[in-house]
Amino acid sequence: MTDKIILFLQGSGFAQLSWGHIGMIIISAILMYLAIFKEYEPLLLLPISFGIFLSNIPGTGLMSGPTAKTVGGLLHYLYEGVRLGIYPPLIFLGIGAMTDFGPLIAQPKTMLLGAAAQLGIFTTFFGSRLLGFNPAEAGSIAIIGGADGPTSIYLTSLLSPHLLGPIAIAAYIYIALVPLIQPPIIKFFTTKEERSIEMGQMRRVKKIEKLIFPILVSLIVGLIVPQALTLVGMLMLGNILKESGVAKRLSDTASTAMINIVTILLMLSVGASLKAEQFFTIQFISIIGLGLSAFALSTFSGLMMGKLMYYLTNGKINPIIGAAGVSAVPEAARCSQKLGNEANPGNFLLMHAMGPNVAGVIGSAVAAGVLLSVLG
Amino acid sequence: MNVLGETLEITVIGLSVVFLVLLLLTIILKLQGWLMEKFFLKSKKEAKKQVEKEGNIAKTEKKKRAVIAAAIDSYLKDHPAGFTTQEGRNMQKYKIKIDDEIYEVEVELVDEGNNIKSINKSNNQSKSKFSTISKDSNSTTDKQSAAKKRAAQIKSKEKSRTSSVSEDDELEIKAPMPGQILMLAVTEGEEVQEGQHLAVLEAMKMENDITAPKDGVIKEVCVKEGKEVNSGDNLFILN
Repeated sequence: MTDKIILFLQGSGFAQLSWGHIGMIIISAILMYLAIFKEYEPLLLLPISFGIFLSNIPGTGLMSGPTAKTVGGLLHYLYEGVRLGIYPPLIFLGIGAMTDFGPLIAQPKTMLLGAAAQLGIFTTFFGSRLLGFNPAEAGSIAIIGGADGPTSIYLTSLLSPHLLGPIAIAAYIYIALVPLIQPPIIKFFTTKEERSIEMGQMRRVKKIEKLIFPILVSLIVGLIVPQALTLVGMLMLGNILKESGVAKRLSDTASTAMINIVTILLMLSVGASLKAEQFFTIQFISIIGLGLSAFALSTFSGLMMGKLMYYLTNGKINPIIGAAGVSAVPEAARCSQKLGNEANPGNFLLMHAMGPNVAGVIGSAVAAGVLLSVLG
Repeated sequence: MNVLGETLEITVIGLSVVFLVLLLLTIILKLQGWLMEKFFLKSKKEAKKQVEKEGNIAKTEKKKRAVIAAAIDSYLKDHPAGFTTQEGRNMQKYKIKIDDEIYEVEVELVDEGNNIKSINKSNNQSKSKFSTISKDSNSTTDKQSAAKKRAAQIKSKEKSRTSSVSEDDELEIKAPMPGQILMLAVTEGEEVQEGQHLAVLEAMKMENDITAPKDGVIKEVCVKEGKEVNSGDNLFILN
């Protein structure tokens, strides 16, 4: 009788509870608090934090793989979608079905702003290598500077899966913090006169142009950087579903129900992959630091390209839309709109900033493809 | 040192590939936009204009002819002129000049009334024949008044158009981006000052204030609360 009780107690969570587990449960509680009461990206942070919480209750075997006796835990199988790189492209499919590339087609030159804002990725790659990360890890950390959650998760899961949790969290934290990180940088490097430049009405884009765009982008990206086509191809599939107008049911599902389902699975798995031994390390702190510098540098380089265009076009381009070249759709574009409107109440940059913003998504996916082909 | 060199290499390759891809896309899109502007949009626009123009001409022609018919009808009523017999019918020919255009009108006398047989425009080399307007004497007055009314309408329309053109101080406040009007802060006839909030436009889940660009009076509010607007749609007309 006593033996049985002792055996049961040994199998229960209490006996296996370590300080690491307790620490992670506290962290998950803090993240849940931020998500629920502070509303920091609750759609992402809530499933992540609950995933951390669940997988750090010891003895459950939720994350353990199949053994001779057991079939393996639920979260283990859900995580396969991350490990095999399935969830992020599916999220991109939904994003494609929500995104209007019209502003970009109307003003193709803003595409270059989206390219310039990827500079932070590569400078951070450099920095990470100097701090002693191996090339694969450095690439995964650097992609945080692309400010694109699914891209970061995709690249990390393929290059250095052991860093997935910290990198996903860092990426999403900084995306949520765009309205705090970007304005000081933008204000420091531009004058009020520059910020108050109005860019006028954009030309209307024909439907045929919107239909050519996804095919064109897939073709060019696929031919030059084949490894980027997984993400870009799905993004463009979603977009052509939306723009064609004949597959409304599919695009509606992709942009609502499906992206929501995949978000739950992805975020839960990412959270569940976070282990105490990864979290309380100097590595994690340096990832957070490097991520911030990647973000700031991307904003800076986008701004500088914006300035260059401002001078080249004799002041027709407002330089602050360059900062929207970091992806973070649509937070970065909103940020440009807010600062432009603050400097000049009649200034509406939102649609103009959406151009570089969506170009940034393509840019960071291409950058991920390049890193994958060079490092993978 | 080897590490540094390798890292630098990757950085340079990466950046240049990203730039290359996006630059290529930029150039192609620019080219596509240019082609659209050059051929597709322009030809379409011109065709549309042409059709519109032709439609307008046809419309004014029709109106003119109706006025002529009415005028002749009323003239014949007062002056029952002698009709000459032509090919076994009582016919009479008139020439009427309107705006430097000469119309030939053939009128046939039938029992108890006139029958306007045809109105031909004769300043053109090829005479465009207009459909026959036949009338019974009973309904003459009705038609006449209708035609007169129509003529009056044309005039009044023209008047209103010129009056709207003559007020040159108007300023249209347009929607800067597509979105939904969440709130209207002003009503028609209200005086506003520069920078005053006029409306809140929600776009991309972001609320944007539309402010008055100068002092003035709101002459017209073109939208309602909750309405979806497109970029470039008129929101207000400021006087």
